[in-house]
Amino acid sequence: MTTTTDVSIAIPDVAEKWGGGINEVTIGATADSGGSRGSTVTIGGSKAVPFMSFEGSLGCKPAIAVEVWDIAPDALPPQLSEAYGDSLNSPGAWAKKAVEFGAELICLRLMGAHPDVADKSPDDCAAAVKEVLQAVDVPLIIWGCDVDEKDNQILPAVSSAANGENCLIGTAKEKNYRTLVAVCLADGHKLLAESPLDINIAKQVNILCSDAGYPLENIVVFPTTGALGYGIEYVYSIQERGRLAGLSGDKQLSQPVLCNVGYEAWRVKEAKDPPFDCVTDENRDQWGVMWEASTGVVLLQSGVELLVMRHPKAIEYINEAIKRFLPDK
Amino acid sequence: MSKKCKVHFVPDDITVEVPVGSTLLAAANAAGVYVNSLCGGDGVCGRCRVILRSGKTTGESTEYFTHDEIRAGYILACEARAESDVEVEIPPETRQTQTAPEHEKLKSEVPQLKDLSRGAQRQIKLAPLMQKHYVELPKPTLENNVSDLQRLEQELHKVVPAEGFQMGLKVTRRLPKILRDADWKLTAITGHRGPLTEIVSVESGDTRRRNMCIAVDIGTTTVVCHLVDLRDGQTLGQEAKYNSQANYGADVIRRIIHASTPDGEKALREAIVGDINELIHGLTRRYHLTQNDISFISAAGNTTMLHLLLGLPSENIRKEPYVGVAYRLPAFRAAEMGLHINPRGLLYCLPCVAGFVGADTVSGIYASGMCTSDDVRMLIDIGTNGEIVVGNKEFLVCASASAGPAFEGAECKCGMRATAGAIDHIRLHDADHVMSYSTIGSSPPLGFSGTGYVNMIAEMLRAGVIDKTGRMNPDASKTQLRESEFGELEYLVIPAAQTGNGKDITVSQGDVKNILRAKAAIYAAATVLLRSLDMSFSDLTEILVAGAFGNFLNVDNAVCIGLLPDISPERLRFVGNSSLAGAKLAALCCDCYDEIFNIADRTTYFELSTQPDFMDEFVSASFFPHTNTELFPSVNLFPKMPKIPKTQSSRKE
Repeated sequence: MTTTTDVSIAIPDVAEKWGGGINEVTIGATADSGGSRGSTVTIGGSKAVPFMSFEGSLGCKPAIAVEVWDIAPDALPPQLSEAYGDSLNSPGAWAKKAVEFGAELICLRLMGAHPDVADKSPDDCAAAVKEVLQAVDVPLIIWGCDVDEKDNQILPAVSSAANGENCLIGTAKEKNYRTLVAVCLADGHKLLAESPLDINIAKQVNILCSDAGYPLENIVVFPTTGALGYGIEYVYSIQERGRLAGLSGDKQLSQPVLCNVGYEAWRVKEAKDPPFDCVTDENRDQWGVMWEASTGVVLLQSGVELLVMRHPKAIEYINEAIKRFLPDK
Repeated sequence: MSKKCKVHFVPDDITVEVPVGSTLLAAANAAGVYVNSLCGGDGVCGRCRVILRSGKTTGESTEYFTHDEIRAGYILACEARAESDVEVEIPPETRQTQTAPEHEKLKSEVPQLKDLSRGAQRQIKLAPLMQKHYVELPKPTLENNVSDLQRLEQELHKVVPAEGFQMGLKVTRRLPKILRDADWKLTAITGHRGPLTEIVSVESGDTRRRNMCIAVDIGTTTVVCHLVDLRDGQTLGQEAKYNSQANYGADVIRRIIHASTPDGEKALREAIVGDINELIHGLTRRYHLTQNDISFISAAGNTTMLHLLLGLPSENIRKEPYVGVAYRLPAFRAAEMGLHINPRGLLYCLPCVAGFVGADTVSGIYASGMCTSDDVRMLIDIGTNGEIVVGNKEFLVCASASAGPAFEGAECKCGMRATAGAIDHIRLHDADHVMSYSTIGSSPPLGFSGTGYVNMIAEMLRAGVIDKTGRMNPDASKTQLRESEFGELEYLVIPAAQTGNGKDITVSQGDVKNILRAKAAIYAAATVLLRSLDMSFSDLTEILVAGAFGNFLNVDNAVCIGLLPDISPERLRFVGNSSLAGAKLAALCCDCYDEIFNIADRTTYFELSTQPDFMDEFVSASFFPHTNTELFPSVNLFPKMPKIPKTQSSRKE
């Protein structure tokens, strides 16, 4: 055993140097640039792994969008329907409520167009978009009904209805991207590119869209997600792998990422009807909120730039988390 | 005794008698009539289409035929059972031209010893595996009364540098009579047996003039034989034909399954032995030889093909951990296998490495010269199984990936082997028009060869008919794209009126996916193998492409679809049938034969199925040319920005 001597060791600089960075994408257009939004939201721009400010610029603050549907959902968990009340019956009122809750963007899902829901026409969808645009002045994310054939009918109409507003419209998929690329190019919107939790396919969708003429730097990636307890570790590792590749200079993975936090979290039974012994009548309603917030915090740390959320309390938690992670922003 | 009936096949005009209730496919096999079949009679491939002209059959299904075809009497040979005397027509698409691929014939030049020496990057010393030595023995006297055999050995020792001799009992029994009948002037045929030399046979007089061998490459699809004169190492001629085992399934897995059924093993063995004998007969007839003049056979082939030839049980090759019976075998008496050469002649089989890396690969490694150089090269042998070898004189590592038979034209709707009528080159003017195409033998087109598919897919990419995922763009062409009878999109290449069989030649969505998977498997295997060696394509001096396919492949298009890596064309070299070249080198030179066994020992087999990143690489490569576009910098499918109006038109719909 040696006795203690006075040794000073310089702490090595462990900061990684990154050659690449994540693109900045701005959503929304104010009157100056031909739109009618009161503000715009810019996401992305980081040149370091999430929240490691000593490695490089962290870019823009993550943004929170709130999900609004064009039709009143018939099976919303009571915690959510209580929070939004009657506003659920009108997309405009719902969007207003969402902005009150802290939405920086509105994510309008055109679920009413789904053939099994209300099979709404392209004109109906366009009217819903206009209603939301008039009700609030935050930027808009417009999301189809996830049925490719129907999306290809409604998205040209809604894109045209939001002409000049620089919305983010989705989703372009490996099997269905041509129509959306064409309308986003024509009407000046940003593009949301979807892939099933697979880096290769995420890159492939980006390549396909850019082959079809869409600028790579205007794409936001939606890699799909799961909720806490449902493979979030895998989601995290895929997201991390993609992010490290992007930071290392892979142009096909340099896009900011959107995750559908509220939708995923409120799907699981632990959120809606928690099956645990420790659940009491007092805390029962908190489970869903915490499930959504925890899912969001994990995804934030994986580098997600744009969180689509639902419950006002969860939004508060996430905003709080962002403040603590990024005290300077 | 079960009742018999007669099955008459046209246009072959062959009749065979079979038990009532036999399938037409079984009858065709019994008659030696070729009927195309991929699945080997499981009723799933729909390839064994025949037309019932008269008589009664039962058991046929209609799912593979159009209404018109059913009316015309189309049935599947593997399902239809003869219930009476029947006449069956075998239509062109089901027939096989039983001659060599046209390419093989056109290639008038067969590689000679100097070409082989150049390929293997060394001077080959002519010292065949079996040699003929003319000796005149001193007659026995009271002073010199050693045994007959010793007398022969003493004399042979002067010309053969062997450690010792061995002789079989049969020859030894005949020895005294031959020696005395020949007045002690005789020719001894010696065979290479490692450190020993076998005196295989003795013939009276000087027969050295007639010492030939057959080098054979037993491919899953094609069997090629070269006749080599062992006096000077010159190749006299070649014959090729399709492996008749194709009747029992297109790929090795189906054949192994068939071999494990009762009688299956025998049927497969007899099929390949029959093929080799047929080729030998053709060659001996052409060069006015007798079968006695063929001293031995040097055989290369994949592990399964050699197992089936030798009658070794092959079923364990198919099951994890993929173990064959034996990979290194001594020479056997060829007659034991039923091969028609000199009755005392030997069959030398080259060594295998693993269940899916056979003597064809080892032989290719040797013949390509990659194992003697300091430079690190990669050998890609494109076949139903893609084999990839990386190495130099210090190390050799190989892997095997199942690519499927798409590159051999199989399992694609209009795919065919590289015979007369197969489209090999094609250019599209745009998505609506074919600019030009050529077929093998300039015959009316019947379908696509593997090369043809590579060119076609590249052209479809350039014309925007498919995107980089291989999906057809339904808006790309109003005239050529349509829905097939199976509900998938298909691209009409050549309409029925211009084809040799009156049927449209099309490329279906499924065909594109088949090719995509095949090329992805080969590229991913090469990538994972290189990565395991901490190397990349740029570290390779050269990439050698082997297989009959390799000779005629358009490099630009092979790179364009991502089958071959994007390296400068000077670093890509086609080495043709390197398996056969190796078999021939072994035949001509004992040292080469021994070295090939060394190579088999030195080659490390790398099992891809246990590599966690193989699947990831496969998905990454399942894109034209590749998801990582930076790997293919020279591939620019869209020199101009594509026009947007086409997609905009879909908005109005």
